[in-house]
Amino acid sequence: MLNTPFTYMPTGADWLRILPELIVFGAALLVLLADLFIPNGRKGWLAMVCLLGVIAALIGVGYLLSNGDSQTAFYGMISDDTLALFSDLLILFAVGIGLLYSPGYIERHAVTRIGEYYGLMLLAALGMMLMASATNLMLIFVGLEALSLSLYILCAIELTRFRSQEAGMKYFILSSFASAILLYGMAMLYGSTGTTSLSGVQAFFAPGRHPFLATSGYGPLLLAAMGLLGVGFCFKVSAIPFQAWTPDVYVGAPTSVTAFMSVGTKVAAFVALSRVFLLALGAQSDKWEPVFWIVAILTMLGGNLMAVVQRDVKRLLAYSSIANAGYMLVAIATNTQHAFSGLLIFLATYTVMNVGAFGIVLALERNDGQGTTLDDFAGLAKRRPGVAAAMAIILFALAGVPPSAGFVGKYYVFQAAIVGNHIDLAVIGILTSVLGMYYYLRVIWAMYFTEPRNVSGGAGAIAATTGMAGEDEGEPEPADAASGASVAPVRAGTATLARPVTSRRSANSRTVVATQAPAESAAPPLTLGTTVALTLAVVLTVALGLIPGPIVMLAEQAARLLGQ
Amino acid sequence: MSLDIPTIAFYLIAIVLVGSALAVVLLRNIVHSALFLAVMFGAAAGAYVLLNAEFIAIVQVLIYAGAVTILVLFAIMLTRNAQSQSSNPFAKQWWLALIICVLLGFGLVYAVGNSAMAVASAFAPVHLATLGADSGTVTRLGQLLYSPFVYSYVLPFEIASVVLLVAIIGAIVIGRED
Repeated sequence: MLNTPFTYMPTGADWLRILPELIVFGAALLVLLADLFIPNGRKGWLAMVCLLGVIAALIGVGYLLSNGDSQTAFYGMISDDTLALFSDLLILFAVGIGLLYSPGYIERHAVTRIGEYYGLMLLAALGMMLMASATNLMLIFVGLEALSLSLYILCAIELTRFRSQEAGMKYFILSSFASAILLYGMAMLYGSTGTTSLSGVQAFFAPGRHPFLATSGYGPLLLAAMGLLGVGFCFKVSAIPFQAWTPDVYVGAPTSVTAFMSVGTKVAAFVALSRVFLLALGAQSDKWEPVFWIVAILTMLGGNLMAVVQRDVKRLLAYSSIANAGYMLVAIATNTQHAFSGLLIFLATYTVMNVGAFGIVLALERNDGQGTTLDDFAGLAKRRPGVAAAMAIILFALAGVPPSAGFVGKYYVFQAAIVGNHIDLAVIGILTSVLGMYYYLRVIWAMYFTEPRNVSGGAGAIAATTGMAGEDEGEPEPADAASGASVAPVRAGTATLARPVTSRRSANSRTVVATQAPAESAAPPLTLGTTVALTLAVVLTVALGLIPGPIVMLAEQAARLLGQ
Repeated sequence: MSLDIPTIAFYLIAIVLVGSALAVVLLRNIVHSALFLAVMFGAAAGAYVLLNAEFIAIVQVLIYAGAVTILVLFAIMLTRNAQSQSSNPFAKQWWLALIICVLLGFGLVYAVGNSAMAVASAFAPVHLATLGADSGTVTRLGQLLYSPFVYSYVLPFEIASVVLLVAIIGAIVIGRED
């Protein structure tokens, strides 16, 4: 046996089953190459190349949905089952919207590595797609690493903005620690079952397979494995008590990246988590269900309570994404096929709403990352009625008001929880959703029923903008920006110290002029890409609420994997 | 307890391993910590040899004792403040970290020691049976990469190169000066 030469070759069918991933990878390489030939000032073409790649990959997903064979490829490593294709669809949608936002964002902010930015966006999407399609622990981990490494860099890609650097560093340190814990759990699972394949793990626990284990139990090693895996995954989906990184990273990262990563990572991590726990470790559910029960309750309560006190809308959305992770964990703790399809529907609706919400933030924030507090949203409906209307629709959807996408997602999750004998989780979920309505509707109230407040907060923020604009010419930071209303880069702060007082005074007089200008002058107009992306997100938010039929059918088909 | 050569070798390696690991954490000069890290990597390679995992042992020496140590030393050289005497200070909550580490460590040791392990004995998975238990680890690893039997690790192996590509791009994005 040992001396027989191996004749294993991946067949054409193997390659076909990973067609979307291949297309995305090809597009990423193409972008990195094209970056060398496209001169500065025309880098917008790179976004076009990326978008074409994403559209081609979507076509690939569509082809596999209609003609795929739902088999594993490369000897049980990866699958093109409906679950994988469903998550591919969501991830590609999220990265497509993120790419549409990007040119406008890059133009206004300190992103200088444009080719790398677009390449890493696609590589992050590739990692997410691999993680969601993987049917082997090894591939789950390699996909996770591909997406995490790309996102660390994308978070820190604004080299001169302190918040962006801070976000990248925090995400890198905490997330790589969580990856190590996850890998440790995988090693333990391999130790107790002797296989890294998810179907192998599932078969290991099949009744009657190992009769003596049924009497003596599986020992503490399996518990340790499940514990470590649970911690790793809970960190990746930012469940409480592993959420501490989420607000800082989501706020500090470029908004176009946040829009993409806040949903893409969740889709990939939740699908991988479901494959590992619901599917492979399904026979051991009595051991892990209570843990997820507690984590779900903590996440729903904590996420919503912390969101209530936020004054900054971008930070509020970060906490709202923690709260939404709690609703998704309800479906995991319920652990039925019905709840799993509910989770997928929730993920789909959450994807369209959340990319839209961060898109609005991107449209309103100024060049220094300020301009997204509740005060800045005051009276927005009079100044920019279109943007305000889009935000209102998305916020109503996030709050779960029928008939919107958010209502559909919550309905299916909570209904499955009630049917699955988890009325406690459903009640807590509904109560915390009511709490959630408060902070979502407060933003709508600010936009439609309050007058813009041009007090010190707004003036300070505008002053900070002036300071940023003048930074290149060595201009000092205006004095009242130090009042806490703004976070100017450290470099500007140190430059101020060396300046003579006279020039500071002249900057102050300039600030007064800036304050008298209308507040929205600092927020730039929408670019074409942003407009298209926002329209798409809003239309889909409404459409998923009015006609949820197709996505529900697809999700139920994907969830059938559990029944097998 | 019989004192044959592998047992003696194990205890020697174990003492060096634990001692150098403690030195990495406890020493106040970060360069000393980095040097003891190299010793720790070498001792771990010795432990792998005792476990009949020659390939892992060689990789451990090449990559960890070699490349990673050099990388750590370079990072220290490029970022260190030469005046600082205590360059590897304790965090304020070191006692909390100590408690958590001790609990986690004992928990894992207990878990590993008190469980039937599928890999070791009870039910060797199919691929090991078909490949022959007496083949060396390098052969076995190579066969697992391209194994036509149960599953093959060729896809994760290839995707690992995508991860490396991302890492290279990241290093350039962060490190390059305009």
